[in-house]
Amino acid sequence: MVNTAIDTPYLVADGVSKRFGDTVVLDLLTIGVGRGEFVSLLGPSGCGKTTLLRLVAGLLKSDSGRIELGGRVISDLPPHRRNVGVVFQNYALFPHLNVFENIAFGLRARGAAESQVAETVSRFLALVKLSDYADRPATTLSGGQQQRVAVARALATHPDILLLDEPFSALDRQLREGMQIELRALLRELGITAIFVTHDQEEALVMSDRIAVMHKGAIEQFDTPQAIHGSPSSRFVLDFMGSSVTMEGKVTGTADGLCMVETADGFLRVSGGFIRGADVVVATRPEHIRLVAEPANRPDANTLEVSLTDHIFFGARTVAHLKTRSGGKLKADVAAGDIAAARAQDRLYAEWRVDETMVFPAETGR
Amino acid sequence: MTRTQILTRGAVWIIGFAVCVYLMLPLFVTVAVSFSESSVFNLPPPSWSTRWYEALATKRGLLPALGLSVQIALLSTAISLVLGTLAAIAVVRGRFPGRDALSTFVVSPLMMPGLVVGIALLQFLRGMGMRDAYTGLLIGHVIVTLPFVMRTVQASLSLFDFTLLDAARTLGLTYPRALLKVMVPVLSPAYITSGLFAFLASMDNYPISIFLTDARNKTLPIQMLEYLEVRPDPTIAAVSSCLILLTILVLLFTERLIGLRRLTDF
Amino acid sequence: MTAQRTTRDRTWLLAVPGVGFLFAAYAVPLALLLLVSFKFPETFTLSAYQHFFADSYNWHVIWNTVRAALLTTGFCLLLGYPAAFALAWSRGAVQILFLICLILPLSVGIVVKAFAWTIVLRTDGVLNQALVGLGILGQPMRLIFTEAGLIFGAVNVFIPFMILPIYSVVRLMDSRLVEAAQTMGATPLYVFRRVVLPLTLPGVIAGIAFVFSMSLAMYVVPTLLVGERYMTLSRQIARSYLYLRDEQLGSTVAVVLLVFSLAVIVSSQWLAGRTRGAP
Repeated sequence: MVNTAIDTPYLVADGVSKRFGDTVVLDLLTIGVGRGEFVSLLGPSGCGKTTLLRLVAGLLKSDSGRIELGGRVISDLPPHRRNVGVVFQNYALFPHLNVFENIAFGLRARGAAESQVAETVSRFLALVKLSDYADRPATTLSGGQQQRVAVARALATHPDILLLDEPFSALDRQLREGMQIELRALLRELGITAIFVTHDQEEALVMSDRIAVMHKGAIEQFDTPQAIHGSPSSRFVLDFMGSSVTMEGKVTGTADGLCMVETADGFLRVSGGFIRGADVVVATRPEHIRLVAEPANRPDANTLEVSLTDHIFFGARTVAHLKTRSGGKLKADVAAGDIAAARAQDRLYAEWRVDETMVFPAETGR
Repeated sequence: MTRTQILTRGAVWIIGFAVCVYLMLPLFVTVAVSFSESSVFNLPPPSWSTRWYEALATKRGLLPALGLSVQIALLSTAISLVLGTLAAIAVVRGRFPGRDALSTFVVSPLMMPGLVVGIALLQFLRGMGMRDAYTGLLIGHVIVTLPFVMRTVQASLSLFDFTLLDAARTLGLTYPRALLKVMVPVLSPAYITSGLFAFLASMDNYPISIFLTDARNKTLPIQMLEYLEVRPDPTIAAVSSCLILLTILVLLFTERLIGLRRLTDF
Repeated sequence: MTAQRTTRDRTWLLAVPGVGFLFAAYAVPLALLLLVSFKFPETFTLSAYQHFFADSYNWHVIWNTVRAALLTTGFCLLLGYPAAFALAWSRGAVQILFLICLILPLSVGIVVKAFAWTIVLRTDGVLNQALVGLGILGQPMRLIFTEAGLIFGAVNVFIPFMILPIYSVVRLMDSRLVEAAQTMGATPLYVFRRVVLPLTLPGVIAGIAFVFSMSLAMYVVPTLLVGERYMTLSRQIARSYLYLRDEQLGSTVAVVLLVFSLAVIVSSQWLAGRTRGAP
């Protein structure tokens, strides 16, 4: 597991486990988040990301392990003493209160003076651009507006950390993209540390300083978006982040720091330290594959003969569906015009760079 | 969980359990008494016997009263289901002013003193020359059962997708047939719920019935109170125990059919 | 366009059978009763009411009635509110049992239930036997024919009508709202006061309206559990018509009770309208 660590993490979950009945949802999980950092917990449903979030919030108690926030051990504290802010998936705005009262709730619950409450709430209303909506019942606002109220409400109490549980999943695409940018800017301006749970890898890539890809209760990789996308540490991370094409093969030898892998369609060069005879999976991403008429035959390129079976127009890009001689399936991102050119060729080759090739041990299960 | 939360939770559960015991206590007493040997209501009974059950068939006026109560309950519930559904549709779908007031009006008999409604109805009927006790009882019991139906059906109807009716009509059904073939099946849980409550309310009604009965038409509660005043013996406990058993069976059947939780949507 | 208009017109017609029936069989007779109490058609006078309210005994009766209703409603609320939560939290077989406990007693019939309570509350009855046996009481307590016994029996009869409306509101309450409040720093008491209570208020109002109006009008339970010593408006009405044959008095008292019930209905509707902001 590739894991970049922070020197003095602000939030630490150390050896945290949680099981529900017979199911182990989190298994001795350890993670550290730096101050002011925006970390995403990314993974499919059931991987434990929401459970971890709720453990940090204090809405669940862990079976083992320790949670520290800003130097305080908070594992045994109930949620109302942890000073965390939570933004829920369905906003959880109080239907019997208006927008102002919703945002003011936390401050009033802590016994703040009304003058201070008014000042803080007004400030946050302005920050989320909802000053004109203060008197409206909270549930009469649109989805995007309610989301902003939920964020303002969680931030108004100056929490030590902001926890967000798939807050944008109910919004339509355009609104979601706008909210992502707004939220990121707001948190940067306030210097708030945040943990963001999502199953949408694009969202995680856009917003995060670092991403923790989770799978079955453990963190597979915890790194910057670039590292996770470009150098996935496992087959799972590869499959989960972006689209990929894979080929199975066996390592036949090494030369110049590269391994030669024999696949059903020919030899491929990968960089890696595998022993001879190892079963591996070679992978790359469709955006790295080019369609060419002649193989380049260079040591820094991989080439396979293919035929064009289909192409799909996505607007910004076109995806060409390819088939190798042995029947393997590949995809390549091409420009719309390349399709016609590719059809005109007698022979067609898929080519990509060796340093854009990834290799993983072939494993069963996982 | 904090200690406060644990204490609160514990207190809630204890109170819940205590309320259950408290609610079931009269039932246990009734069943226990029905098996008592003696005709004096001593608990625990000195000895056990089933003689009161055996005496049920021969007790004067008991079976006719039971029969009348069941008849009236079934008829009034059926009439209320029809009237209530129609009125509920009007309230949920209509756009006329005073919809809420209408709904309140139809449900109001629940909260009115039954005695007063009974007297008023009796005097009205007498003034109009209608002295038939059976009809009078039926009218009175429809007044009693209609609110239950209205409340439940209205709540269910507000969740009903009316485009289903539009679809049925475009497929060739007239509006009344569409109601019958599409809406009634979807509303059946509401009917079962309100039907059960309405039936029980009618079977158990005393205040309205007391004024509308006569010597030959006595409903069960009237008859039972008379027994208690004249010569109380555990026969009435035996009757009630039979009714309890019947209701248990109905409730278990309902649980199978629609789940008992639906009954709380009354 | 024409089809739409026809559908719209037709809808209110559907209510005519039901509303018409109620109007003829329920509203009109009540209105007539009201008129009779004003000694219509001979005259139109409030003399019967003046007579009624001049007698201090009648004020005593009114106070008994209201008092019994208040006590019954109060205890139903005190016990019913937590019980509704217990019902909402219970699952599976436990919840089914709970529901049976709530609904089954409705089948016993109020006469038998009240009578069963007389057996339990008697000086030599089960309750006293238990209390003395457990050492809580030195000697048996007189419960039958007391107000305490009445409240005991009345709460038993009416508490399901408090629990069910509150339960149906608790069931719909979003648990995330409580969690949100906790994460914002609210203590459990604050959460209850500012989140749970306001959100369950519609159910509480409905429950209070039901129980208060029903206990205001209750007849069988007081008749069997307290008898002549504790005169309530309902019993006075029944007595007037069935025994005294004084229809004038009966209709006067009936109207007084009616006015009380109407007041409860109107105020509960008004309160319900005000709290409707919480869906």
